[in-house]
Amino acid sequence: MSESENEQKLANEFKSRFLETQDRNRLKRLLAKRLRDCGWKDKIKKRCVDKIRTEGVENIKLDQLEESILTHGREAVPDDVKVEILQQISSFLDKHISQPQLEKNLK
Amino acid sequence: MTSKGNSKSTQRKIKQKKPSTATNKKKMVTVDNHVKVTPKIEKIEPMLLKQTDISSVKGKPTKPLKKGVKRKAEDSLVDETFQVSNAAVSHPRISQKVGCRHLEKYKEHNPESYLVNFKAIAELSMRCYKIGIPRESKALRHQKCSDCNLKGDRLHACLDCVFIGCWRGESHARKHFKNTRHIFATDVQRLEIFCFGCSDYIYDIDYDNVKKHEEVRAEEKESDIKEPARKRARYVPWKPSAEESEKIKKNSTPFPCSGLRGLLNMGATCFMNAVLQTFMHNPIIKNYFMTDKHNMNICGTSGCMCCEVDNLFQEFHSGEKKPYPPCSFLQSMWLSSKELAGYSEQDAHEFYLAAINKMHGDSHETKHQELNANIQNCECIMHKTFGGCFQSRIKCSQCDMSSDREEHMVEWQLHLRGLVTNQKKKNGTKASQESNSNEMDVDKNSLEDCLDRYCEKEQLPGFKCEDCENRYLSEGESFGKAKGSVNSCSRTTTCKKLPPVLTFVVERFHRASTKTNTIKNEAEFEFPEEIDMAKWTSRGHDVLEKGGTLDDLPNYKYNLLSVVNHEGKINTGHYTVYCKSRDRWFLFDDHAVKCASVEEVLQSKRKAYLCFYVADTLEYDQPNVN
Repeated sequence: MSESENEQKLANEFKSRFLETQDRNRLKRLLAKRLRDCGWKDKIKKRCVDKIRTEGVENIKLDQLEESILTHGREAVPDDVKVEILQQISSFLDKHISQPQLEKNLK
Repeated sequence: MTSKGNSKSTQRKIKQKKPSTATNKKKMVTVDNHVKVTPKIEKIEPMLLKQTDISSVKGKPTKPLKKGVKRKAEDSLVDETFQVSNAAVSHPRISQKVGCRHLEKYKEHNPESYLVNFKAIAELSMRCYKIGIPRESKALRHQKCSDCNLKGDRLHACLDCVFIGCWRGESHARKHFKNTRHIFATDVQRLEIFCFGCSDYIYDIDYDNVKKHEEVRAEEKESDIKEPARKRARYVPWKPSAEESEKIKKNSTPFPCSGLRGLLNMGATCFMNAVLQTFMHNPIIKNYFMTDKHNMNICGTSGCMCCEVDNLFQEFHSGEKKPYPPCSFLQSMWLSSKELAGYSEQDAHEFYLAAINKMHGDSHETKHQELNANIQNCECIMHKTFGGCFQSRIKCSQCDMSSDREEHMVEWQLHLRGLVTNQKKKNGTKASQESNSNEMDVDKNSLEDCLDRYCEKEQLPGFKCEDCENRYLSEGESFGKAKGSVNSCSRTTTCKKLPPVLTFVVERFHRASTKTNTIKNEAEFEFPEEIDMAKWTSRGHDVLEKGGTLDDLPNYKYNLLSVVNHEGKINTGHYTVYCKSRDRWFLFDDHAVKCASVEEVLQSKRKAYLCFYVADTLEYDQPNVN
């Protein structure tokens, strides 16, 4: 088995684990809470409203709005929040990487 | 939904009149030569009419499209409306404001059933996401994208068939539309409707009404489950009839919800009354209790201090004008803290601290908190309102070592200069040392001066810098500076985190030593109506030290909220308090409430004991990463 194939398989395995264990939902809720608490949500909302106002309600579609706000929105996420979420993800990986079932699957 | 049958009958009636409207329309169009008439525009026109119609006929917005149009046609107003619509057609932005064309068609095709699926989805969704009834919510919580089994990722349910699709990535919801041409999908959680024809979310009042209806039902169900003892009445929308509204107008008098009420003195309890009044007019505490975050009827714990405050808020806003005797409050206080019990006069500052502690212990938020949990992250209302954090930094001038220590605070104690220094007592405190060293400017005692002094650099004689010592030991004589690092350290205290409400305690009561009596210092203490705290924050301090300006810092402005005054001698004094309520100042003297002016408040320089300032703007919580 080549290196990249192996990696792909590993990634898929983790993905499904992530979904099964509800960790994904938990992290999503956590992220949503953090973003709300630090004001990110309000900031982005204001930006969206401004955008819609300047363009006119009917001249802008959901996809366009999303596109125009996406890069800025990603950049605006505070580093602390990013760090926390990444830490959580890596701890999830650590927890699951040692389990025998996973190893067996990979062999 | 009761209007459904109604609208049908009117529709039938209307059909007969159709020709007349058609001719009317044509006439208008031919008259107005500027407008190019295309088939598409003609299609839009009826919907335009609906808009104008709705705005003119108030209170019946759910009227179906056709009904509105035809009625208008019969009216004499008809010409006017058509003119409006024609003007709109020449204006593309306005003409499109009608809402979703696809939805109008959809409703026409399924006049009976267009809400049925949505209603079912809304019902389940409300149960699942809003109240989370375990058994019933299974239906949706375990719902996942029909194609890829992804759970809970902006799922959209089709309004035509049983299909739920994910949104991001491959977007099976969109695929489903492409395959089946089912044009509407609703967000399972938010219950917004997406139209693939417009490729945008759309708004429709019928759907919105269903959503609201289900929301209320879900809430009713929730309260049924959580508190089965309290029977909640079923919500029925009520609109006063003409007769009823006339009666209401005639027989009712506006209710003053001023929230001003005196508190009776129950025997030397003015210290308590004064502090309670400041709580009552503290916007943050007020919001907390007025939004029922701690309801005394639900809590029901006897001796709970939060319940007592809740009770006070109810009494204050009951419209009753007579002064209120806070008996039960006093009783709970006596039971909880022995020092304050009895009929002797107490210190308002001590009461303030005791009240914070007691309310912290009784609040809902701390119930599940561990005993030795970090008080700085406390979620209780009192610590959220008054809790801040000092930072004291010890710095060695020889090796540039610095170490920070954080200290939780609920008040900022200010040392006064003045009478105490004349007594020539040996105080180990910082204030007296300083005042001895520069006795020249003794009488400057404004709030700013006091804060400056508080945050001044302070030498620490006899304090050994560990870094220097270690280096001396390891490097020996080559370290250069001899062991004389003993006096090289200094300490600076600044405010790391400002609380939403800042409490300044003017230290008027001095006790020089255990043998002497406590003395009251009646020096003048000047305080401003608003103050910018940037200078005394850790951040501002650092910026100034580096030679920067404070302009880039966030808003640290604070406004005066209330002032507790102490009059008279130390043992037989009297407390009064100035509070700001709805931008006006009032003087509370136990049972008496009087109007006051800002000037009057600021003039109480010799009496001011506790000063409360409230932040101009509240900041978001900073995420804490450990």
